[in-house]
Amino acid sequence: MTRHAGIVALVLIVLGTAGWAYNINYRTLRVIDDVETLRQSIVREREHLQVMRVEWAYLNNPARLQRLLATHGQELGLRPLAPGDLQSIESVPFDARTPDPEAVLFTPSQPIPLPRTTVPPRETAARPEPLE
Amino acid sequence: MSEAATPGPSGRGFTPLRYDWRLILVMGCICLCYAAVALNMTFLAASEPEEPRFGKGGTASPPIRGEIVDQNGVLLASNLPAWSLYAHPHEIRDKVAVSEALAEALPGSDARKILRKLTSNAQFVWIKRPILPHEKQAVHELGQPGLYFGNREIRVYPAGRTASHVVGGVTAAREDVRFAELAGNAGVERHFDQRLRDPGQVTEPLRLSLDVTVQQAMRSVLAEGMERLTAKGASAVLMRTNGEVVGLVSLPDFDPNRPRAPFDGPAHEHPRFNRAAQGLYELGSTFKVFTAAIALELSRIDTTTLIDTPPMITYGRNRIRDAHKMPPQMPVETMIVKSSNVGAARIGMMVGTTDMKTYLDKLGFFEPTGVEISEAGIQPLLPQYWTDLSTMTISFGHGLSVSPMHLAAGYATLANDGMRVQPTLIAGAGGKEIERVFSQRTARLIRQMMREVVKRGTARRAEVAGYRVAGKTGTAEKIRLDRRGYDPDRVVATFASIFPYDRPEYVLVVTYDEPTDRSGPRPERGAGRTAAPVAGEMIARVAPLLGLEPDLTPPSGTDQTIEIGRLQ
Repeated sequence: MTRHAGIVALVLIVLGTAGWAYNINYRTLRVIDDVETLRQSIVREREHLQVMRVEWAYLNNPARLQRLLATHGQELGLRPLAPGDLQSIESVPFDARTPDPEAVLFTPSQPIPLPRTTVPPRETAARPEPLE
Repeated sequence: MSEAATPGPSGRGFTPLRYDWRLILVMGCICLCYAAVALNMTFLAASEPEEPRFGKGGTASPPIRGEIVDQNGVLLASNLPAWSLYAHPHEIRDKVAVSEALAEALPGSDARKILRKLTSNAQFVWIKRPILPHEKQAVHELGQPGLYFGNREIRVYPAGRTASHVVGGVTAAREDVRFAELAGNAGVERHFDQRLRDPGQVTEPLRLSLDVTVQQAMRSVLAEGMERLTAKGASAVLMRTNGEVVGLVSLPDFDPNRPRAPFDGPAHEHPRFNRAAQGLYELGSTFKVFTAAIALELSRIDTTTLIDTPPMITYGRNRIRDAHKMPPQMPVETMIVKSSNVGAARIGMMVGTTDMKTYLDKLGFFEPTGVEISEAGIQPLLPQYWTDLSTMTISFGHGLSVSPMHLAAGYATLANDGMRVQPTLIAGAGGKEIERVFSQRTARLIRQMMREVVKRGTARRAEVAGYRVAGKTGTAEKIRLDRRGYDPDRVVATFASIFPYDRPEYVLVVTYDEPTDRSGPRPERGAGRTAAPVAGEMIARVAPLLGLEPDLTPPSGTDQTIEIGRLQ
């Protein structure tokens, strides 16, 4: 009787292992398929990315931007950067009405004379209200 | 019983059946093993080779050719996936209908040409390459058999014409259904062909010292000037004093994304001819600063030495004279400011032929510049026999033909306090010192003289507020078409400059081929009226882009109103 039990156990073990191996084999194949699909989609995405990088470079090409400027520069008030557009920080008139010390980025060593500037009287040109 | 007891040959009991059984078993085993090996071999031989599906490593195929970017990483040359369309004519039934449908699907192709290809005896014909995604889709929609697509990466230049002369282009070297090999045919693409193809470096972009924004600003200013001056061609080179080329423009230029167009003019007027790196010109008076620098360096003259400048000097049968009336004597600074040929020739004679050659060689005027584009390998044109007369004419820039790039490198030496550096197009490769040509004192003196040229001399129109330009104009008459003497109506006008002159950071050389300024009462061709104003405009446009701070300190007094950004 004991001899039969041993054989039955052996058979069961063999059957169990076979089932497990069968199962794991097919799961592995499925995972490999998934990986393959993923890789293909990565390659496709990379290709798309490359196309978009080139497209971005093309759209930002200065020659193209200049062509756009020729048509829209007037209405947008755009023009090339000129040497006079660069000024030293000392020439910026800080508003005396903003006492908030954190709003001022630097403390000048001596009082800065405000340059005589003419602010256009239009509403849009008014200085933003000082922050509280 | 007696039979069974018969002794065998060996004298022992004879049992043949048992031995046979063992032998057969062993033989069978061996046969089985061989059969297994044979079976496996057959299987291996008959099966299709297959990539291991689960390996490690790359997931995408690497690009066919390395990218080229500018110093800020903006793409100048890149690759795009595309396809090439080919056909197996024997698989196509109705060739006329297919060729007509294809001609409709592929804009720019001719139905008759396609039909001729399809009716040829070939087993395989290219229809069009490369084709773009929407064209591929259109061909797909035809649903015709016998048409196939091959994968193909194409080279694209997003910056188009802007950097065409620097980047160059590619052509297909070897082509197959599955791949195409591209080879550079001009510019950086050709010079760095091996580097760009090298599989080990293909993912690493090649970073140039060029700045596309600056390049475009230079190109547009130069092109506007070319139109205004009705010039045949123009070039501009902007170089950092450490030798890095930030902008290089040559007009006319070309679109590297399009195939070469047929052209039937002289080679030096071809749009692909790089005037800045490849064109050799007698650059005229811009050379006078070198003559003066050599003389000062060798102490043949001092800043106060007066040089006799008669209206004309003769050497053998040759006469050298000035374009304008000059004072009878002048110091070297006046020679440069007024651009006196006679004065330069006399200083050249003081230097002497041997020293002149030595120093021009040291300045790099006898060899290619070594800039990394294939066109820059050109050798300057030296006089066949270098006589004393050659020394005199070369003193004011005639008789020696160099490229504008050579001139820029020479001025960079002056800007660098006399240290010659290697010009380069590779980001970060600047500052490679070659040798000291002039002392710091000489270089500074010469720069001051060049500053005077802009302040009160021939190049007043090149002045840009805040950038303290120093420079020298040069107007060289071109040799007449019949090669007999020089033609005063056809000139090469050059303006070579350094800015800011007291702390030099950049060198700019602008050259126009046959310019004419017709804005005044008489047509003007001199560089002071043609190249210099354009160079000034260019500096005003480019310097703020380069982050150069203008020095707007008012020269006198402190009471000044500064206009701050006007709001709209």
